[in-house]
Amino acid sequence: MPTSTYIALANLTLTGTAAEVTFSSIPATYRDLVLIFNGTSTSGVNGNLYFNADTTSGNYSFVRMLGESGGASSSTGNEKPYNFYTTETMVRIQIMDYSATDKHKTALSRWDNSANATGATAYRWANTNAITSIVIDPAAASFNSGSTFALYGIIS
Amino acid sequence: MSAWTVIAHTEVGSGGAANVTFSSIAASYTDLAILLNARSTRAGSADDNVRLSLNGSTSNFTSRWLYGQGSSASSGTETNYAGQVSAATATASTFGSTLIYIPNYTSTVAKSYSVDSVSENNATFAVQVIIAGLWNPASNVAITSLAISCGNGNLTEFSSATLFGITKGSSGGVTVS
Repeated sequence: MPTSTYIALANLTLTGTAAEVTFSSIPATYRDLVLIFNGTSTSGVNGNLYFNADTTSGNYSFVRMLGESGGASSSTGNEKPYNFYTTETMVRIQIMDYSATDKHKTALSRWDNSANATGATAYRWANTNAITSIVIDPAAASFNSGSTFALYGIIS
Repeated sequence: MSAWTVIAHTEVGSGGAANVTFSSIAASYTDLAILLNARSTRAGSADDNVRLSLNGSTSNFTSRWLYGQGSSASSGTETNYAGQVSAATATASTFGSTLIYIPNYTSTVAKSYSVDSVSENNATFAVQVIIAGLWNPASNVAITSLAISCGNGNLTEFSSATLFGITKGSSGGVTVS
């Protein structure tokens, strides 16, 4: 029988609004993590993703490409690897080698809202610690009831 | 148990096909993913677009795309757009690759879908596109069937599609709040 390598770790469906969602106690068992979230927010935002409760903006960097009504564009910045909107939005984020202690942590993010934008972001956390918690923070908004969040681990 | 389960796999036979269809999709999973490796019979072109049908409908779709073709990038809107594949003038034996991800496919709200797609061509023209899609019919129900076709041709022999079900769950002591 083949070995399962893509393991569901935790999930949440909101029954009210939430200012942020936190995944904690992530073991060092896997090679990569995959985060999938889908739903709406109280306003359109550039959303934050924090690791191990580190909210220092300068510890994060991104480069992204974006397709929206103004056309195609690319930009760089800190902290914000996805956009989220008041209409149905989905985000897929893969965090590579999250449990390694010899490298900064990198992630690839894809985020989609058909009414507003499609985008892809490369994201880096300048820290060599293994990731044990993830905070998904929609910055100046909240996630709405019914929004779903799921975390998966991939075994090498 | 693996969170990803193969629901069905199909490969186009001799003579090609107008579409590949997955029917009677059980409500057993959380999300769906379709991996498509395909080529179109569209004559006189190196690529063709991919179209998605859900529950037999091609209506009530909106999408936003970001597209690069080797010398420029652009963005725009579409309807049931779901990627690009190689076509008749692309390098022989070359097939485009597409991932379509549909979260919460059994929900009773509008269905988002996300696409990463490349057409593949050993030349200066090849296409990479990402797409944000939404299916929002008057009555939002679970997805029970889906079909993939090309906009300007048929799928060639050896094109293939695999439908996966992804199931959320919990293990390893991870908590969420």
